[in-house]
Amino acid sequence: MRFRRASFTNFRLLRDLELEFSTDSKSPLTVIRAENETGKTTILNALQWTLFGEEGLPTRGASYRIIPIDWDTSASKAAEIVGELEFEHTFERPDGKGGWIQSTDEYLVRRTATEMIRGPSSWKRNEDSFQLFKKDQSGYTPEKSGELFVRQIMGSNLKDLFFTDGDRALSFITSEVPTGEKRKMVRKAIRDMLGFELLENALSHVKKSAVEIRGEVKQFSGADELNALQEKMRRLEEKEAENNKRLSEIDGELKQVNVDVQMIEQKLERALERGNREELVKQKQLKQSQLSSARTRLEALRREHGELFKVEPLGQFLLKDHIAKASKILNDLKAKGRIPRTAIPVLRERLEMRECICGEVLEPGSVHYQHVQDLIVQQEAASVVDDRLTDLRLIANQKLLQVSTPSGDWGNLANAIIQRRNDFDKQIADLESELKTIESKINELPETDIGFLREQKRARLEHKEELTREHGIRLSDRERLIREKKNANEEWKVLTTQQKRFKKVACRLDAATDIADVLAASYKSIEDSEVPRVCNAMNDYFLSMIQADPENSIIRKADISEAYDIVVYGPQDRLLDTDLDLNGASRRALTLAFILALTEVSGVKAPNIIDTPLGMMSGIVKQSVLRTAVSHTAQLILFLTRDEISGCEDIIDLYAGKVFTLSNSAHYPKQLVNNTSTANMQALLCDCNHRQYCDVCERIGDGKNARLTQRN
Amino acid sequence: MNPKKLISTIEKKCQEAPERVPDYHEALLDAISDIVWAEHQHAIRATTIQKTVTDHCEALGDFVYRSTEGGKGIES
Repeated sequence: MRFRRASFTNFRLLRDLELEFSTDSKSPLTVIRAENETGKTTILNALQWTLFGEEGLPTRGASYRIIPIDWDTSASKAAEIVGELEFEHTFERPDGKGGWIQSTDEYLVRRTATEMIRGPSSWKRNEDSFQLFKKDQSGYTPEKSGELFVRQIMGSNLKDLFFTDGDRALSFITSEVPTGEKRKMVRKAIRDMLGFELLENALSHVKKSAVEIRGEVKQFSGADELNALQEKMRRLEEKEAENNKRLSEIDGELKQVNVDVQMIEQKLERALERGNREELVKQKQLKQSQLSSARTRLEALRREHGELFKVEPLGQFLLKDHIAKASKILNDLKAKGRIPRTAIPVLRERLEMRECICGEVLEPGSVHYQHVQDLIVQQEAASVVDDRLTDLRLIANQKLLQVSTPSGDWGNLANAIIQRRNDFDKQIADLESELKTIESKINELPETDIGFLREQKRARLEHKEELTREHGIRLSDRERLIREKKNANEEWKVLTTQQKRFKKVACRLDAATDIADVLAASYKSIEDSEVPRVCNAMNDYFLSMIQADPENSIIRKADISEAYDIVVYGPQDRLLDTDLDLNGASRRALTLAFILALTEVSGVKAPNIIDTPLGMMSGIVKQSVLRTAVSHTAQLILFLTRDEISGCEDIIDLYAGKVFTLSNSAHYPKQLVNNTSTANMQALLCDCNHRQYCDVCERIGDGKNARLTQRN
Repeated sequence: MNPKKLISTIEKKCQEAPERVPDYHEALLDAISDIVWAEHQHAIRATTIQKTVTDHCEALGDFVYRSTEGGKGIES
């Protein structure tokens, strides 16, 4: 299926809009350049409404107004809404000779509805009318069962795959959608696109047909034995169906448990990498205690440092040079014998002995005696000063000795305290930093409870054990039932071939059995070959889009798990969290890769219409996403903003068969340069490609944009 | 899934079924293609699928029956 042309009337901002799409297989890309609020999403919704009716609208049409918001009710309160889509479809059917016949037809879909404004926030939409026309030599001829036909070739249940926008596509992987819901979506998309559900339903109906056919023996008289056998086989079929159903459930549950265990282990690993909460709390307490002790010691040092300014050592330190000078003078005095003065006792002794040191007789009243007495008086007068000087010399020498030793030097003491204070300041800063790190680690683990995770893992493993046990029993039951059925079948065959009248029933049963076997084998073949192909293609496209190297990048591989989770692996096959470990560009690329891979592997040829797929992307990733997308679709219709286009112009040159620009008249004068003089707010289409602007679409700044040129 | 791909897979698996009578594989493929088509229709609108499927199974069985009764086919 390829879209050729679409037109819309009175569909919100699309008052009167016609679009053409490229159908050239060499240039399969159509680009509609459009900024925010110019009608991109509205076109996406209008296309889906045209094809699928209310079901194609957001919230399935409920509370979705279509009539333009500025509809002038003075002329009419009602508006006729029209959506038209021209498309071509190629049919392939077996030619009966091992080949296939291909034929391509052109169609026109037309949906109309009337919507009436009933109040400021009230409106009513009448039931829409749908018509399908097939193009032939005479023009368009109406087709019967048109809606059925459209649904057959483009299932409405798959519309989210074909019509999507960058954000909505994320619903396949984002944690904002519950895990169960995401798996359901991925599983449903795969099953629908690869035809699993169809084959399963067919198989179930064929098995019921076999039971009905076997029951046909009831019409024959004297077939009691066969009837009993038929009843036995019916019961075996029921048991087998019940057993298989449970086996399938167990398989699903086991897959789920394995995924759960893997996820829990991953969470545990991550949590342990970040830190065990209990361990972190212990570390925090230890650091707090060390910090408190360091702060106490620092406070003591501060006090000690203060004391240093109050006591003698500071004086000694400050007077050190003066003391040394005084000491030198005093020591000189001592060296000269001026201090201490020791002559008085000697002189007194000589007076008593009546003999001088020089040998002169000292007679009282003599001149010599009087001289010695005078000397004694003189000496006594100077001794107070001498004593003080002697004391001072001793003190000076003692102090000099003190200040000259490292422990006695005030400067050394002060330096030592400052050094210790600095050490403690650093220690406290380090401890505070460590404490902060530990606290932030703890804060990063608000949801992680390692004990709880371990308990969860234990419970899941116990459940797995129970399931495995039941699985074994069920498998053994299945083998027994198959044996019993085989025996009953052989018995049946013997009985039916003995009598010709049962031959026809036997042939019918053989036919039903063969059909069931072929359907089951086809299902398995598709499951075994096509699902891995989807996974491989998704991985290839994804890695190519984000330019990841499977050997060296953080992102190594994308896959679809057995439980239908889209998963991404990093080094050593570690699961990456698609929300936390992937950036916005990679998340969009991943979902686009899934959609493209599924579409391509299924062989369904349908257009992919994507709104702003390159948002949050830049540089080489943006280019490779665009190049990969366009290389793997039958028809790609993209709504791109100028920012998204920037840097991708060459790729658009290469692959785009059609490029248009969409503007919103209401953007004048804030965003548009020129007044388009339209009476109403509406989307305006011009032929400007991604490198041009004109009077209709010129936006403020376009004239200065070196990538753009004015179109006349 | 693209019908061509689906039918191609079914066609391969038909070749692995026993050739009960001449042209049986072709008749088997036709019957299954019809059933798959009927299922496709049924998925879109509620058609009476069970009877249709049984009719196709019986028709294939009758083809085998006619071929063997007439002595033209291979007895299974």
